[in-house]
Amino acid sequence: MIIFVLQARCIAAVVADTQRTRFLVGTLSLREENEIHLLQIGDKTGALAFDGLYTHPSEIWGLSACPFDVSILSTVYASAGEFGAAIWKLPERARGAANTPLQKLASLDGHTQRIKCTLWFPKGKHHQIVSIDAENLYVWDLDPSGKPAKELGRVSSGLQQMAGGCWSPHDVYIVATACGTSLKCWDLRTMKEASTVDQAHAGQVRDLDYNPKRQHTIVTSGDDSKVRVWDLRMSGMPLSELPGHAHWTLRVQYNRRYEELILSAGTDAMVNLWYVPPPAEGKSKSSPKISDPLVRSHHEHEDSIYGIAWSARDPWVFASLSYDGNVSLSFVQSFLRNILLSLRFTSTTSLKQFAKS
Amino acid sequence: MAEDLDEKARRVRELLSSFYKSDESDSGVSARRRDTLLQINTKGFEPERYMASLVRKTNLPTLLKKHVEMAAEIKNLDSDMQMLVYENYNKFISATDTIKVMKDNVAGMESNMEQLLEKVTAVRTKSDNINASLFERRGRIEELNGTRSLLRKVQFVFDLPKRLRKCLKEGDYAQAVKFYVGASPVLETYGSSSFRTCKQESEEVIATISKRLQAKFLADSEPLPGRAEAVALLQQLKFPVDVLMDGFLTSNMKHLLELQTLSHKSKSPDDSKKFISEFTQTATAFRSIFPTGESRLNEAAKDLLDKYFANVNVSLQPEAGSLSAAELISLLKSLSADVAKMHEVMPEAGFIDGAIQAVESAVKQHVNHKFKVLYAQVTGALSDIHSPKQEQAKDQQKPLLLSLENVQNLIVNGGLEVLKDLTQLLDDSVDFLVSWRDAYIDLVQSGFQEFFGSLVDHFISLSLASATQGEGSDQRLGSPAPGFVLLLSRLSTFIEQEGVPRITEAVGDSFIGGSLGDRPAFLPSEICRAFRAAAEKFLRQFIDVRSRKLSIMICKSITTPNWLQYKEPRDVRMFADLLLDEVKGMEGEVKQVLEPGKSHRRSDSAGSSSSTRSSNTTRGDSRSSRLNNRGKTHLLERDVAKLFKQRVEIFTRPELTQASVISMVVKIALKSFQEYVRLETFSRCGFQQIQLDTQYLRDPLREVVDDDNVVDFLLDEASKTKLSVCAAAAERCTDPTPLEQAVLEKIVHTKREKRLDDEATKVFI
Repeated sequence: MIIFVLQARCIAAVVADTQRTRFLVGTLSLREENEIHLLQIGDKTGALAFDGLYTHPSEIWGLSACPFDVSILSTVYASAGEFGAAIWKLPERARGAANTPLQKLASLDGHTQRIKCTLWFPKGKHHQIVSIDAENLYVWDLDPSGKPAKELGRVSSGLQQMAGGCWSPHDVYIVATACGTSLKCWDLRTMKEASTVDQAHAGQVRDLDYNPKRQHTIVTSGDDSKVRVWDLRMSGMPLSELPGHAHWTLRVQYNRRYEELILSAGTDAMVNLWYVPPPAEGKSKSSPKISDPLVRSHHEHEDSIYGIAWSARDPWVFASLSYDGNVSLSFVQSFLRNILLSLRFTSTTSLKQFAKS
Repeated sequence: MAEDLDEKARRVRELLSSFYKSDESDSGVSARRRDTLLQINTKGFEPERYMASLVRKTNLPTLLKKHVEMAAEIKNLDSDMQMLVYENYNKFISATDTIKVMKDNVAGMESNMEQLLEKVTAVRTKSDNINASLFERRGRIEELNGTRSLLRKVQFVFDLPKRLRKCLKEGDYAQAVKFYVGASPVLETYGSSSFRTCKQESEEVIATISKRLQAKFLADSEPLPGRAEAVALLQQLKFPVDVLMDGFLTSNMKHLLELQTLSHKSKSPDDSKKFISEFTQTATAFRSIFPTGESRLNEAAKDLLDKYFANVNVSLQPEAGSLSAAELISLLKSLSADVAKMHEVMPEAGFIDGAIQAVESAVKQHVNHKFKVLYAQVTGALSDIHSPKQEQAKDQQKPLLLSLENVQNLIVNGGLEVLKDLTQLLDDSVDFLVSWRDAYIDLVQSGFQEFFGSLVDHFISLSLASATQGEGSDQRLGSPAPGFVLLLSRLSTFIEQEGVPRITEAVGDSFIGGSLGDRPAFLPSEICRAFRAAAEKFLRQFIDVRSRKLSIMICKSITTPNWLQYKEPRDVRMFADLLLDEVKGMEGEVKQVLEPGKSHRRSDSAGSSSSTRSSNTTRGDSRSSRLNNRGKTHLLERDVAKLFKQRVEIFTRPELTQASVISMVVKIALKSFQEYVRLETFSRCGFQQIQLDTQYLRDPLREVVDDDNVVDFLLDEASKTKLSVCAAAAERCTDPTPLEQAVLEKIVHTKREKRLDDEATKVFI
């Protein structure tokens, strides 16, 4: 199922909403008015439908939803030389009004380079936010009363260009960033480098994500089209390497509930779902072996894909967004669901049995 | 009267019947016949009662008749008796005469017997007398007799040195030894006391004798029986014969070994014959001299053989390194001939087994050596390409092509040569090979298996080494690493598609069978699979490295300028030329190494490109209308999009052909170009610059990429294809006004001219 919006780069799941599967899509249109689309899976139809439309002053290059408030989001924007990042509130929708402007809560001023992304504090209601541009990482304190955000600190990555980041869900003082061809973790207390993986990819590292269950495991993707899983304690060799895509692999994301599932998307217009069994700890737990970790390739899109998002409510649903504005909703195949569910209870089930049945 | 007569007759009858038992039955019969008279003939016959009963029972006439009968009977009996008497009378008379003569003779004998008795008694008394008189002296005599023989022995012992000397003088060593051995018990027992001097003397003599015997034994001129006798005598003298044996064997074997080495070096059959004849001689000599030392001989012969084989093995590894199978065969043949002859001489020594082992190890060594040499040649050739020696070859037109052909030839011809070489061994069928033919075949097959296996490993390690080099130093643009990786890929494919089949065929021709294990040792399919995987890996690596290089150039060209304040474009930017140079360099490499492959240029471009375009126009229209009534149209739009959904597959699986590889690299680079452009925002002039650059790049790239469609797709002018670089720039442009076509073409044209000139001058210089 595909839904059209304008040209767009960003999609994000509304994390705070646990009742419905909702996605935010930010458009990227140089000459037309930009919008934030709120998409929702209809309870009856099971299909994506528009749920709201909000105007946004300039092109949206980055988007993330507030983890504790359904109506709050942050965007990274730029247009014709101007750039910035801001926190927005979705206004109450007036009946009949097609386009409602967003309500600006705060802006993160002070960046000297184009901003790549913003990261919300990963645990609970906390008013800290991190923004990353090509050279610097800023930590902000948001004042709920509406005053401008206060800069708590910054750290410079030096010569290597940063492309993205991920706030560790296990240790709230650690933020991992894609830094040139390497992966760097920063300690927010000391504002220093905590750990690093040099030469994580042969080209620019494009995206990374923390394993939701394992503190030191990070998945990265990059311009060499590969997807690699790293243990930060053993930075010499990746835990596993997936072939990735035919061109750049731009996005990579763990499933929040099932760490075995990794979603990746790239400029070859493909969305790939990978099954990567966790490294065996001890011999008792034998996870089913799959010869090909690629579970499924989704061919729905025709242009490069810049955004993917797992649903916050249903772990079997994910959405992908291609540059031409197609949002596609996909589901994890039932045989894989069965395996993952059965793995939660018994560890002996074989994947092949399921695949046959 | 009558009764008396009867009585008498009866008695006579009984007498006679007891005499002549044969008559009894007749008399019995007659008795039964006359049963009334039966009783008459019995002992308890009572005439009175008989008469009384007769009188009483019978009447007169019967009595009268009876009387007549009886009278007749009596008459008969009388006559019978008379007859008997007459008949036997003569016999009585002669018997009486005989008894009379006997009586006379016995009377004469008695006197003689008495005389004899007398004489015997006399002898006996005399003997008793003598016995009694001699009894006292007997013990003494016996004692004296013993002493006498002892004295004789002592005399012999005392005379021993003299006799021995005499024997020595006469050269009669056998006699001397006999004497000495006879006397030795005495000397042993009393040598320390009474016969000391005697013993010493005789021992001296015996020592000289033994020396002379040894000398005799050692003298080769002496005839064999003499030497054998000498050894036998020495053995009797308890001389350690083993030492002699050892000495004999060592000297002879040394000699033999020298001979052998000589023959081995000269390789002439004469020497070999000489060796064999010498060996036979030695063996027979030893046999006759030491009839008991067979086992020793066997041992020594084995030892000799071991040395022989060691010699052979040494000559199998000459310093030069390569020994052809022909040489090996001649060696093995001479060895097998030698050994066969030696075996005839000494069947128990186990020469054949030893020889088989030696041949086996020699052949194994040979096979391993062959493969090792081949492997070293191939890896050497590869490292020559890989190493900076390349610089020397730069003046050659196509270094990669040359080295590729070189290595290909090396692998196939080298492999076939090795095979041919090894086949000779099989064809000439040296005797010993026959027994383990299967094992040999297995050996050769596994040799190939191992060779290819290690070759794949070597390739991969080489590619890894070059990969890390390539990654670390991208500024080293002239580095041979990518070309080398491509070469490896081509080589792997070549091995998979040609090398292995050819060698498999050759192996199948001559090395069939074998397989001591469950499966054959040479598995071409397995090797092919490994090489195919390696080829794919190398190809991908080449494409990765090359396209990354291009992408980095593009990235710099896009990210460096400030596109929003760009000045009006005057010329195509430098990077385009650099890009083309790079592509050209890569093309040079690829064309050397890969085959052209079939190009599907313009085969289906018209249809598909037009359809993509139409799909795009449809989509553009729908988008413009969408803003107005989005809710209604989006379902329709989706359907329309599906209708026209015809993807242009940009990323296909690369094949190992020039066109495929080059277009793959170019495609990836152009896709990166597009992606970089999409990250920027352009002013009108910036957009025009991109337009200019892409226009300039389009034609040259179209020449090298096999699928026009794709290049058009990625590098088309702004308005036509939405996914092209130019379109991406237009989308990201605040004011996408394209450059006028005339201006565009003019600039591109002058630039091309200039580039052609540059190239011409470059070539000229």
